[in-house]
Amino acid sequence: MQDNRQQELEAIAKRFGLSVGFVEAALSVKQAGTVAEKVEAFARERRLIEQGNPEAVARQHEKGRLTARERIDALADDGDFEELDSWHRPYETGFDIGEEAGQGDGVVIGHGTIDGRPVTIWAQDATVMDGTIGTVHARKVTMIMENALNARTPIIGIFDSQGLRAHDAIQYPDFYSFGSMAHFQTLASGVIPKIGLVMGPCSGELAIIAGLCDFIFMVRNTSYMYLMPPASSIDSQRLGDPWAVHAKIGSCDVLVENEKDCLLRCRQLLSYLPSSNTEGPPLVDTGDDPNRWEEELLEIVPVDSSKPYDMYKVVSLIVDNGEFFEIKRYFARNLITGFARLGGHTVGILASNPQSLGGCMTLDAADKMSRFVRFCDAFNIPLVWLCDTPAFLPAVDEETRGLIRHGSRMIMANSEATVPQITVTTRRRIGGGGLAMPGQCLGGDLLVAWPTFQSGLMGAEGAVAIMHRKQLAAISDETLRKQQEEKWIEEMQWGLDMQVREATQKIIDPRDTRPFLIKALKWLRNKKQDLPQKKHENFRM
Amino acid sequence: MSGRIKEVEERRSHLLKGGAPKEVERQHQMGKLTARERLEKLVDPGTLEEIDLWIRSVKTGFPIDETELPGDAVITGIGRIDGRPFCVFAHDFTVAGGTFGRALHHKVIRIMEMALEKRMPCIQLVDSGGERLQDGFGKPAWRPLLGGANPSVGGALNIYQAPGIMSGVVPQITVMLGPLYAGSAYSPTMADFMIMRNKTSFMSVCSPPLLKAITFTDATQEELGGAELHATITGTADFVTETDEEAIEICRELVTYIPLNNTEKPPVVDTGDDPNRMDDRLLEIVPADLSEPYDMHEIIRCVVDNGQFIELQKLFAKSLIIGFARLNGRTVGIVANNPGKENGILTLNTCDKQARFIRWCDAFNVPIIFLVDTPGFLSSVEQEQSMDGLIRTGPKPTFAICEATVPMITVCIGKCFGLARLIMGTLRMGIDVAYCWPSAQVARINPEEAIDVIYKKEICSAEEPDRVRRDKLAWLLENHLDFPYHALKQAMVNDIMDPRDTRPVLIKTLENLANKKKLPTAWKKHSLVPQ
Amino acid sequence: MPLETIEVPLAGKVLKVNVNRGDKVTEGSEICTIESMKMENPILTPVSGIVKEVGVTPGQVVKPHETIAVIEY
Repeated sequence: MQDNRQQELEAIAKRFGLSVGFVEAALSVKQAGTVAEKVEAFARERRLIEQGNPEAVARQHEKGRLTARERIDALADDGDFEELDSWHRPYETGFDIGEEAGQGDGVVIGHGTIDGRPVTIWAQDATVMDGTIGTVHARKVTMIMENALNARTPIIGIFDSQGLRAHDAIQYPDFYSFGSMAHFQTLASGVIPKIGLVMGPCSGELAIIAGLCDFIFMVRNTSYMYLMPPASSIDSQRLGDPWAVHAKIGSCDVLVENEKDCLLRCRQLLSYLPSSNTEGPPLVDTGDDPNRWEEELLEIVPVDSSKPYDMYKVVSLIVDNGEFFEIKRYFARNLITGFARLGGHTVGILASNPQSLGGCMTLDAADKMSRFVRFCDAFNIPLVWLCDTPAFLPAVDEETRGLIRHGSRMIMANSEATVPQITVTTRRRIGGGGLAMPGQCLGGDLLVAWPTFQSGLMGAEGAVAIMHRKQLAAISDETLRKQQEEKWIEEMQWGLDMQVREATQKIIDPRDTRPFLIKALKWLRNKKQDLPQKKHENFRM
Repeated sequence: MSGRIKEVEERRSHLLKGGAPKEVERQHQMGKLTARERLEKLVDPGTLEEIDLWIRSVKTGFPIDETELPGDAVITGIGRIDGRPFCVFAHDFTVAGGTFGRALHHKVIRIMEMALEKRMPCIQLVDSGGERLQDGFGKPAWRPLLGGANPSVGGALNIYQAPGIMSGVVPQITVMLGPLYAGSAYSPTMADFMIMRNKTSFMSVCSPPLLKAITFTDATQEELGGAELHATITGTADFVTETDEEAIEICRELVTYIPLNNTEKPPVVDTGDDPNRMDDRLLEIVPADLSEPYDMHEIIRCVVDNGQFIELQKLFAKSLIIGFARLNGRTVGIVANNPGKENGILTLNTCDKQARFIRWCDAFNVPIIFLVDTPGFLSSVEQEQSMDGLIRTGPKPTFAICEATVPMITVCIGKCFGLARLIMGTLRMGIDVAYCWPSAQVARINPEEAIDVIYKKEICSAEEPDRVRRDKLAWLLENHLDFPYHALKQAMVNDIMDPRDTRPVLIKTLENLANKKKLPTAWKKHSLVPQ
Repeated sequence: MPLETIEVPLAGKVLKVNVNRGDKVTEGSEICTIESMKMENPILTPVSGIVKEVGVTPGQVVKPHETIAVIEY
């Protein structure tokens, strides 16, 4: 009798591609006589789904990774996540894909809150068929993306998947797949913040979907990301190594040491961002005095422009409580980008870093800047530049990689930005470097400088060497020539010194920088600037 | 009055001469035309309406103040090309080396503002020594009116900001006929199209003497910013020409394909080519074995009006072809893989090239035709981990296609699997209609990859894995991936057609799609295109 | 023991070299200073370890990707 029943259950399980346990639960739903019993029976089913396959969960933990639901628990406010579509099942493929435990089709989707603000989350579940992407999986992700867009909440995607499920892809139409995901990623671009947490494998088409996010987080050692599967000589972990993706390629915005940290940092980032492009960023009571003067700012920048100094220190002294959320820390280190608060309002900070490449601008720094500026502009976050740059780095490599092409994109991004833009020159704003940090010339609102300000197209020596080349060459006596040259350099320097006063709107006391910026941002808070109607600009890619 | 008029004309003809005769002669000796000669060739005869010829240079306090600088080294104005109006300007190298003085800045910004406000394309002919140091170091640098930031009088734009604001509103074309170094070079680079003349035009942020002085490194002008470098390696230049005349001729041809601004459609030209023309050559071009190379240009020429195709970035990322042609007199943008070069693979550079072109066509209402046959990306550590990394560059074309709202039609000619489909566009991404030829092999996953995934166990445990793989592949191709019907059954393409029908079908479909208008979507200031 | 090679990040002139072969260095300490773009650019070691090789001498003109030092850590 018992055996017969077991066989019956197994037959049903086989027919519907379910686990026997699940069929048992389904049976009690069927047999439930009251609504309360049905509720309880469905809850049993749900618990089964949420438990998942213990072996697969153990395997996931062995890899140093959490499961999708554990991640969501750590990410969203306590117990505040509503999962949707958890019963949805993969399409039958006729192949053995372990679908009997496939509820949810390898992805957990739903909505929750972070710091009390609603967010939309989808997280790939590597314990279900390796998180591979079948039609149902793709449909769930696509639809939750559309939900997030319509609801105007930020969307967080957690990537941990072996990629496309081949068995499914060869049999089912191309309705829901990467194409539809990319479509909504693009529609939502510039409307809601999109954050991708790469916490496991992410390759091929999925890497493109991740690449369409505004910010990508990666976890050292346990995640990797690349487009094409590696040829035999290199393993996938090395090919898509988070360090390389972060520091060299610059795709990864935030690199973290472990999963817990990743989720915590994601929460932090969201605290700086508005929920959508029609809102301002949240106002946070940081408790820091808006009028705080910092004596230390007088001492940091050396007057001698050949001496570097710590720009991070400058940033931390100015912003609320010294809190700075840095984006792309090790990529193009000569430019620092990140979020901070001034008087409780989010600002995007872009600062030259004189400790790296002398604060020169480079191609990568230009990319870093234009991407950051575009994001802040789309989401109403004012921009503050701290400028100390001598020029664009003169190097053959840079030119042949297309410095002009990338640099012009940065200038275009700066020109098109209509959020409040303030530049504080801490020391040098020279030549093309000055273009990088927009003053009024690129539609910036304010251009002020510290007393250490140096301006101009180039140094006086260089200008004399070019402008008076012929005259100098004509003087045969070396002492005389030297004398004449020095005289001209001095004259020329006077020109530059005078320019200091005209090339900035105000020389401010470094100690006053914080109060000054807070006041200026208050003045500019309602800034509105319209540009001619266009679909979009035509960036040089 | 007639005396006055005579005087005016004398003064005018003096200014029109430009720089000193010996400077003009030197310009000619270098094989270059003067700015005025160039403009005469660029616009229809006698149509140039010059603006601000009479402007006086701003006094600098340097000896250069004693020199007369006609027009302050630039000619600006509105001229007609084939009867359509264009804002044009040309640096006059015979006057102070075409350097940017304050008055020049003012004139250039003014003409850019004209282009923006009057919705005309802006064409610049560049030949300049860059910023004029006397202005950068002399009085104008600290005089508020024209100082510091060089804003135009009455406006807030400057020559670095205006192209960004104009971008996507009016087309911009740069014709580089001479040098331009340092930060100044950014302004012309923001243009949509760039034509560079070989051997005389150089464009880089760092000039060779500066590089030498600061970093003790030797490099020639060619290595740092020659036309060839920009056409083949950096992908900044669209065309390379050997003479001024040729460059200007290309510019004149190019503008016939483009609209005057983003609210118009490109002009319709009576090309006289039969819309129903069927070309038998189309049956012969694609080899039976798709791994053999063939030239996609031939297919393009068979399909478009009179075989006329103006190719952009011909020397850059050659495995992908982009350019303009006409179908029944209407401009279309063509994006085509080229199996004739490197098998038509996708690379970092093809992604950049493709994405930018699609975005241009989208901004200026030009329908796009995709001709697809690509094996996809190569697995390459070098490309993957290069500074521009594949994962940073790969999403660009995907984004561009999803964002585009102009009619888009795909013709699948050969292979396109998996990832490559995301790059070349799928129906879900906004392609309107997709066709395939009988030669097409389209699937959501590369069959070889699918085999390795689906039959991993069998292949790994087999004694002869290759044989198992071959058998399984044959089975899969027969039962699931039966090319070309597989793509049709799975709704990846809408219909299959006789290659000879390509032209009539495309023309008919384009007519059907002519009124395509973007469905309302969430308001945004702008999208965040991957960078 | 793995080796870390510190390369020249930008072309310039070596002003001073602070380490010799066999020295012990800690993460973040200055290996040498390169003058470029009229700036003194400190070159820091990303790892702690022992200097195995020093590739530059004061006054030397260096180009990108030349080896400054090799550190075993």
